[in-house]
Amino acid sequence: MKSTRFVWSWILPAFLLFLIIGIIPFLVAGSYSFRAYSFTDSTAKGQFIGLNNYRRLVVDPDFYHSFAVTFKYIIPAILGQGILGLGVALLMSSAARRMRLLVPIMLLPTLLTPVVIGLVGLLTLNPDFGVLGIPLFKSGLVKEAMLGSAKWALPAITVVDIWHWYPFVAVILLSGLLSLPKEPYEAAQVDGANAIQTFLRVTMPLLWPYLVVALLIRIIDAFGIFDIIWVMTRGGPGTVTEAISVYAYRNTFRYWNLGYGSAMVMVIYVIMEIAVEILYNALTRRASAEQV
Amino acid sequence: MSNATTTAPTVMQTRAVRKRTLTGTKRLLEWVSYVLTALIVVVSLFPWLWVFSLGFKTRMEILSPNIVWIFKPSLTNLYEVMIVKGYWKFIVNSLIIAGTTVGLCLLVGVPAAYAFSRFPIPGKRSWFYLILTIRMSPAVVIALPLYILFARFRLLGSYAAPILAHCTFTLPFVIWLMRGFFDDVPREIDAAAMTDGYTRFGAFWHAVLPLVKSGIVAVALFSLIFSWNEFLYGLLLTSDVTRPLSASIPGLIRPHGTLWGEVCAVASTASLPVAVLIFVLQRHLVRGLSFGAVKG
Repeated sequence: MKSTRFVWSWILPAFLLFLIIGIIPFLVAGSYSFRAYSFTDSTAKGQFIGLNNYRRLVVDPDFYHSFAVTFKYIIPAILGQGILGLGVALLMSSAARRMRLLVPIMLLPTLLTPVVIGLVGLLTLNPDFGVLGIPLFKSGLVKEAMLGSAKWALPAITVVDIWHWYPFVAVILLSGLLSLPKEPYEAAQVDGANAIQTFLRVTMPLLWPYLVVALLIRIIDAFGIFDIIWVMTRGGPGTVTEAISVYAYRNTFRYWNLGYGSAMVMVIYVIMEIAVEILYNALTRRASAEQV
Repeated sequence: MSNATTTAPTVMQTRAVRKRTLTGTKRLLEWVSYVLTALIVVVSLFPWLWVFSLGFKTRMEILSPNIVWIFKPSLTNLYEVMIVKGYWKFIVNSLIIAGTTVGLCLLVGVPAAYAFSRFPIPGKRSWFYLILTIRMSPAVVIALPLYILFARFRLLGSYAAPILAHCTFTLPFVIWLMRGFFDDVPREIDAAAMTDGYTRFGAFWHAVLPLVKSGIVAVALFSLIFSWNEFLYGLLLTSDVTRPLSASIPGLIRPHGTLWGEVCAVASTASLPVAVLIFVLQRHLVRGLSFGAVKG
């Protein structure tokens, strides 16, 4: 008995802080999601309305639209980061050792303030004075201001995101490549495997857990993308780049509909948690199957 | 006979030729990888450096339809926005918020991490999920509940609001990473210190902590970067008096007539400390970025 009390004294402060910042706020939001509560509607003062907020959410086309936008951005972004990251990691693991000194430089975009990253996207792509925007515009490849066009705004954000995060995938895979055991390669050489066979049958299965970790973190973070979109387009033009986070933000902090916003937050939270769970299980199962 | 004498040197010759071309291809590959690596560096740095440079250009140079590559760097933008418009206060706010957040999270997070590493904690799995969930939730999902809570306790606009909000990602980070660093320290060290007469806390403080010092520094610096970089909570939960630097940037961007030089001067100021800290953190970059999942 004494030992459990003793353990608690070590983690109690952290638990209290978690209670304040993690648990209580969610309980509050959970209770608000069953209430009518809005700063702009004087009749909605927090009275209990049951599942009405959730009912409204289920038939809200804008909510589904924001999901579609999020996936339209996540899929190419993650693919791009995975492929580029793997390529760069393979290159750096084979290149001369001193090249790896460049890793911190490569990581600069990843660790920079996301608002600044958004600003880099906003300014470089500007058709009037942007260092990338001018040549794109002059060459006729892009005929309108990219971030103001329904066709180009989301791809532009996706490219900026790939630029922002591919080094993250690359360094995780690089550290994975550098720590792989030598024996399977020797065995493959004895068996007369060529470079491609060695890569597919030896490197990839061994590297898979690293790829899972890197892409898992990326997918979950990409799901909540906000800063970059906010600086580059604020969800526009129209609602073309309005990802889930931007939509939830607009509803709660522009229209001040906190009850409805709370319901949205709870649903996003549950969906995200399920997605994390499924993804994690699927990927780790595959990893262990391939390692056998 | 004649056949044998002619083929023998030929085989040797082809071998020599093949060896030469092999080192030739190898050298070529090496050059290709140098060029590609150089390309990666340019791609990583160039867009940022260009935006950085805008902070030191005049309005005419910035808006010129032909990129001005050579210019006399001017500090006017920086002076205008930092001193005249008083944006230096936002730097101080960022430092107050980041410093307090990191201090608080180390204070409560490091002992917890030690406990997770050493003791059988009841409900370890639920802890694991709680920590991971809070860390992985999109910022908006956390921002709304916190906003409601802080509004009720009249904390909106105070320094406490963004500090507590930043703990939602710093505290899980500190606990998770420090636990990994503690796991690297053999338990025999604690045991030896305790047979020497130290209490459990004494062993933690005098024997184990010194061994994870570089880990603590890395975790602290990473947390500082994350807090310094944070945007949404800084925008939502603060007032004009307590706003951090990152959240002050959008306020300078207007539909018309934005002074891009000043925006970029602020952006440069926001990104410079991060650029410096990356080199300080070199050894720990992978571990910190992967939330401790990959020990680089």
